Amino acid sequence: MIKIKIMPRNCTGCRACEVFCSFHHRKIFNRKISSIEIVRFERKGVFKHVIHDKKLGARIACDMCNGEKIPLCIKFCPTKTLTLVD
Amino acid sequence: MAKKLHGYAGKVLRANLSNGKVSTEPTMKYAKRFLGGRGVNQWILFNEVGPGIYPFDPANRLIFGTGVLVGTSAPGASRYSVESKNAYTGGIGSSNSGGHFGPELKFAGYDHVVIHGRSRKPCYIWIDDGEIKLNEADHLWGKTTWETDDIIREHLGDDDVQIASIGPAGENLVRAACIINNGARAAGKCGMGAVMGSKNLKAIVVRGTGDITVAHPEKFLKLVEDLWPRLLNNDGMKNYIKWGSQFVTERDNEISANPVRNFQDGYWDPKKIKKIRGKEFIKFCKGRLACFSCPVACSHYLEVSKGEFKGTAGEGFETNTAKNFGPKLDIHYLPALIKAHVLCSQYGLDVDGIAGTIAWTMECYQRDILKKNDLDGIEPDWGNYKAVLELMRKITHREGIGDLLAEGSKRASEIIGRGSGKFSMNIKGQDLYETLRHSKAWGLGAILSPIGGGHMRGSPTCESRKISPEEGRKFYGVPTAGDAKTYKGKAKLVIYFENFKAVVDSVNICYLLTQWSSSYLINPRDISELLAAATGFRTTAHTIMKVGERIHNLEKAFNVREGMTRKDDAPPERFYTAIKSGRGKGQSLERKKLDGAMDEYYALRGWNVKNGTPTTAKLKNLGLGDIAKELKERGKIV
Repeated sequence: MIKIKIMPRNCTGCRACEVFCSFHHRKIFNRKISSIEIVRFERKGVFKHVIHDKKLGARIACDMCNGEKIPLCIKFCPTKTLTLVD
Repeated sequence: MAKKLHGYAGKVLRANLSNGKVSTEPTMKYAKRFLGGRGVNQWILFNEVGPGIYPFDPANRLIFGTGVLVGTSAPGASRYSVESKNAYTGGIGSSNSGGHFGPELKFAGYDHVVIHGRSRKPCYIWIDDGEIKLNEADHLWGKTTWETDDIIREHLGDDDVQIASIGPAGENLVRAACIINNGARAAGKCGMGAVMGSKNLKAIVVRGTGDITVAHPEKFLKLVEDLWPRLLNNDGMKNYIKWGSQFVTERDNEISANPVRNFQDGYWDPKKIKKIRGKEFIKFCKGRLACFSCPVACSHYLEVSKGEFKGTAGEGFETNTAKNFGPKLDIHYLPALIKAHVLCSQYGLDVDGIAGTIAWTMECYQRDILKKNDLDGIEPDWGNYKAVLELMRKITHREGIGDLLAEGSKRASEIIGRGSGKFSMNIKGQDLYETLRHSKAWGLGAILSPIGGGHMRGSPTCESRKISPEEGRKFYGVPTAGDAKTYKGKAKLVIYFENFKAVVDSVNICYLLTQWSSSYLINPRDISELLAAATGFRTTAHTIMKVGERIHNLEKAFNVREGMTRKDDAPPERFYTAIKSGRGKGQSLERKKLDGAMDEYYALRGWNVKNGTPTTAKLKNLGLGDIAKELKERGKIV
């Protein structure tokens, strides 16, 4: 089963994963419905990543970007924080 | 049923702090002519803030604006523009910042926020999607921007709200005060933080949960998909990823382009530059922090782990900080520069503005114009970082000598006299960051900039990138675009970048990711295609550059209405004297050649060459006939 592997130390907190995730689900931009959530501790320069595999409030459950060759969060992650593992 | 609006959030929020009333109006009332962001902000400012109004008068407006691409996946679409009357010059004030505040404002449903009046007591604006509150901020007054963020987030129980705030510098109307968001991102120039302070407005706090839609989603995605690798594979961007803008600090020293000791020279002692250059800087780096939707993430998070500044940590340290506090003040102890930078973020000070004033102070001390007694016992010899940090504290709180220096070097020199004016390195009254002697278009752009100095308008970087004549011709119609030493073609080049920057600031993507950094990066055509896909409007590179020209003319018209003319487009006299050392030794501005380039610039702009003011014909041609009529009635143009 393929999974998303997270390397938090690589992350810059750009939220591209969140932005593209919402685009995958609804063809809109709204980071607060995304299946991936970045928690920024900006004054410490670190980030926490949460992947919602179940619906939570407005957040949509991750479907690993069903229909795409590769989940968009991984495709557009500029720092390889998110990678695909089997 | 009204046609759905794409790209934009759709509303302009107006908050009157004098009477507590809030209202909204549709963004499209303004956006067709001025795109968004800076363009719309400036139109509102021109129409609502008449000539002669003091920047800190309640009648001044403070206007925040995000562009049409902000909040989308377009690379670097993170920024917000702030426009108001300039706290230094009384002319146009314009600044912008990245981070995550701009997108949040759009998610909350607002493209712009227009602040009217002045609150009787300190307040902050709380925008929770459609719910707007003006909250008391007595408990926040006097706090740093970092403390403000912490208190507000704790009070709201939400660490994810986005906050643009001022520190004590803004509260105390320090001319160099800026607006800070995300701890280190600054709307730095023009004293926008001081204007915010004059309104007793401590912060704008936003939580947005709404959607941004685009008219053609698949087309939009395809465009972004093409841009993403173009950015990541660009050599210039690779440098920014590795070093941030710090990669230019040492390189610029090699061409004598550093502001050594208040611009007395351009070449800094190589032993000193080695102590603050990128290779040293990177040793303090613990990671990088990106603005919203930016693949580059040029900002490095720095931490000092030993010595007297142990524990100092923060991000956003650019080459500006390195040059402003390094060569300009002759400090070569990097942890002290990091400390100064962090203090700027916390106090809410613009690094260019504060370092400029302190450089003037140090030169006045060097020349015995200011003495220890004048300076509350401080002895600001060049390189004395302890004195610099103490002066920063005093200026921020207007304590003792800090009260004078909070006025910026030009006003301070006018107050003390003693021949100190010639050491105030300002343009139009704003303390200067840029060195003007080494690259002709770079200098010309900063001299002509309506905000008073500033290289992120018409000053191109392609001269220092040494692009080929073929590239210069292809991208800008200027074969000499890569030749730093000639004025030939440079007026045209500056106009290109002035118009382009007006577009960039009005869709609010980051200038760093565009042609400004590298000719192969985001260009007018890319922006027009993104804009068309986002909004569904028909646009071309030509039409958006025409909007850019309109916005730049509007900005110039604001200054002209305030009485500025060609005489205000002038460099400090020092730049007519030669650089003393390094490879650039002997270089200076040449009065006749500079005047010639400026003649050419005004003529190409379609302006009055003698006065440097827009003409009726040009303004009408740009659809600004109403502005032309007003300026003519006031006797400002012919």
